[in-house]
Amino acid sequence: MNFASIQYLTFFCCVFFTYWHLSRKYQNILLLLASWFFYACWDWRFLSLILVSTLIDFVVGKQIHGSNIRSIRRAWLGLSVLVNLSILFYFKYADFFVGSFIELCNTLGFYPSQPTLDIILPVGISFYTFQSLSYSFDIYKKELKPSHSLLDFATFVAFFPQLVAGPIVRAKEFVHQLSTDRQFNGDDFQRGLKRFLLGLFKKAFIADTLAIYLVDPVFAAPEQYSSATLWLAMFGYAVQIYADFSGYTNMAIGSALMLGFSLPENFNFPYLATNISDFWRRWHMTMSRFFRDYVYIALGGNQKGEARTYVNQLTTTMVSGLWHGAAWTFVAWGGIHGILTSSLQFKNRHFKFKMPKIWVVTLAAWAFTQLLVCLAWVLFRANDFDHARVYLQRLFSNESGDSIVMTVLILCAFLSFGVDHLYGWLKERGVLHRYEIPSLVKGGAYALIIIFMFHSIPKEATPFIYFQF
Amino acid sequence: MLSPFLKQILSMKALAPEVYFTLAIWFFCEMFAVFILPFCFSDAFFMSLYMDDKAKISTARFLNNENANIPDSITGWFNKPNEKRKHWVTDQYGSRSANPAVIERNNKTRVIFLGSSMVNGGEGVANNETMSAYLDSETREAFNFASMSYSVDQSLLTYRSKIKLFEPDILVVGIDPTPITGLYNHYIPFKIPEETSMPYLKPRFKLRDDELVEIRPNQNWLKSYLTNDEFHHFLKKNDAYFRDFEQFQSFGFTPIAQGLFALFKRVRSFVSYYYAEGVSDPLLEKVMDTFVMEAAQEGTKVYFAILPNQRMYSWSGIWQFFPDVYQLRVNALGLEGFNTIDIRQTLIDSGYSGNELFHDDEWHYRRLANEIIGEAIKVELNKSENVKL
Repeated sequence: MNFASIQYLTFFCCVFFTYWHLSRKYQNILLLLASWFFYACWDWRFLSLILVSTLIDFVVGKQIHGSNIRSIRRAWLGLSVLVNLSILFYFKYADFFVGSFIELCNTLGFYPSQPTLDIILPVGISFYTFQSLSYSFDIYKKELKPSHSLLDFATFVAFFPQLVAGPIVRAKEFVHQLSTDRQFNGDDFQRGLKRFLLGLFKKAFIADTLAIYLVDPVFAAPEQYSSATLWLAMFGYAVQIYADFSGYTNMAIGSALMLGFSLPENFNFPYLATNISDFWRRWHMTMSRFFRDYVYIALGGNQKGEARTYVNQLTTTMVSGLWHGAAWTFVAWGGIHGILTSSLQFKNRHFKFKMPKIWVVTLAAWAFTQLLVCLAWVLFRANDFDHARVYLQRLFSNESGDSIVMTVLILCAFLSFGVDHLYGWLKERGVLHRYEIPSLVKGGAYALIIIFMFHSIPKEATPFIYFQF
Repeated sequence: MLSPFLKQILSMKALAPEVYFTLAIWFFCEMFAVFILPFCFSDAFFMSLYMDDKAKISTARFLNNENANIPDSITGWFNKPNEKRKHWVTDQYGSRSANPAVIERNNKTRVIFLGSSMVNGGEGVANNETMSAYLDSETREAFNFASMSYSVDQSLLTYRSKIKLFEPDILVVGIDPTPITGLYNHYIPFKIPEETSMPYLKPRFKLRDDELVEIRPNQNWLKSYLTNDEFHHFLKKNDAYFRDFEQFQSFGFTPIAQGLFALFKRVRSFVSYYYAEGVSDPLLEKVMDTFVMEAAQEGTKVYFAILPNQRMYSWSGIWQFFPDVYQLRVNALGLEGFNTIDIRQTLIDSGYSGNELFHDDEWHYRRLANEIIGEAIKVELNKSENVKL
């Protein structure tokens, strides 16, 4: 069940109107059943994975909390890590590692037979296993007390607005919300509905328009298109993946808000970043936070010398690349970001000169950062290294070829993205607080957006990019 | 008694003013679009919105003879001669036969197929995999003159203008699953809005004093189809589906209006199925009757192959609670004395599943189905005492 579908709207309306007529306990039961139903709509068989992950971490959390002996606490944590990562590795990475091993053998002159695993990837597996795992980690680090209610914990793991593509919510910022009474609040409802509408617009109009009319055709056959078109499609993909994923996040946050829950923000206008570290503070913030806390710091962070800091950074970003998908292109994408982040840190540590804070310098830093980010997206989008090589070669070769007709819809999609980030730019400078737009004008704008979307969203809807992760 | 939650929802203006104004203005836009907008603009304006980019491009290509169908002053369109596509070709007469059609008679029995893309074969099969191809033998030759989206009236006009010349012994005319709608339609996009690849114009017949009167549109109107008032006036007067275009003017621009209207159309369609509308029709019977009479004057016998789509073939699920329109049609046309061939029964007897017989569009036949149908027609023709095969 896709957020940008009539099925989800119907499902959500049913949940919403029933939910606010129930007491807290029954609200949680409804949320749990609705969440399982939501997930079962993709493939009911994989519900068992969520159940296993939930039960293991619920028990593990209690056992860790109940013991003061370090080795026992570690053993229970180890069990949680083993179960969750085994699920993740088997369903997401088994094919990849077996295939890579066989390729390596072939390179070395051995030719083992290729087993056909054909494992189906359960939707959102990377999100809910991490979320469940973070619960055990936080209890282990004594930052959280275990939940006394299996119902509350199961609802936290399966909460449908963020079940399949985040934001990755940590137990300590969500479980307590399940155990407090919730009252319908007109302001939350209004904010939630606006977030949902904004997300729908980003996904259904901006992301899908760019995907269908620009990005997919060009990436499918880069050798046919001119260099200028490849540049345009590369920028188009940068906008598409942002609109797609932040659109989903907006719909998740909006849905949760209408049900009285607050989820963490995931994006903060990432294409306004003026350096690569700044970009990662704005892009997929809950994932960055997860890898910082549970991988980078676990590896020693910046506490074990300069060289080790860079190695830790590189390792963390490569693991986060692998988290995105079971392919070496994702690992390489993570590696590039690791090198860029480490280079920036190296520069800051060893070259203390301050750049003058004038707009030309800021603009140049912004353009350079975004160019690097966009070039790295080519690797992220490519099917394999050969595909990326062909794309990047033609990008810089000034070759002629086919071009994509810049339709009004493509221009509108780019323009809408521009307005979104202009809003972020003005917001960061505090300009927007000076003006109060009347509700009537805002209402009119929203109504027109709804009607505009109705006419302009492509008929061939595409799935959310991050569902595959 | 309203619950506190519902009371809060109803007092939304104070609690959530932006939501309130959004809904209020949206509702106003819906009302404006339904009741006011149609009076503000001309048919030409709405026509430019009704026809999407693909339809506009397809019209231009059609007029430039770049499509697989080219304009025909009598039938509206016909297969482009000597066309070569990935899976199929046409000969110099536009026939899609296993062997090129020839006018000169020989000692073989000549069978000519007419009908829509279901007979023609569509994109999914090669020439030698169409139903007509399976009738070719040492004593018999079969030519396939069916054309995309043809209704029975166009098959009759094709017979008059092109097929008589070939002096066939037998005509096999495909009756597709919706044989009546096309008889009341001139402009294809009005009947099937999503059919953007075939924005063509066809003639139709009207019944006057139990006689067929042909209404033939001017094909040149397509050159200025967006702005030509004469064309729009003609369609308003003669095309039964012009009302769908008028409904688009009211219900095509806002989400709720369009959603509700789509729901209404779905319900209307179910009701028409329930009351078995569309089984037969006086105009259809008259066209078929005329077909048989005119062919008989030339010594040609006409068989009508009643063709099912996949839904009619399976007739399961919710549809089993509705009258079996296919069977009713076979019975009704049989009672009128037409030579009909029950294709569905043949396919059912073969024991194959719907997915094995039909392409993914659930409408066109796969090679296997065409072979079964071809064999069934062969058996039916062999039964005929007048024809020695």
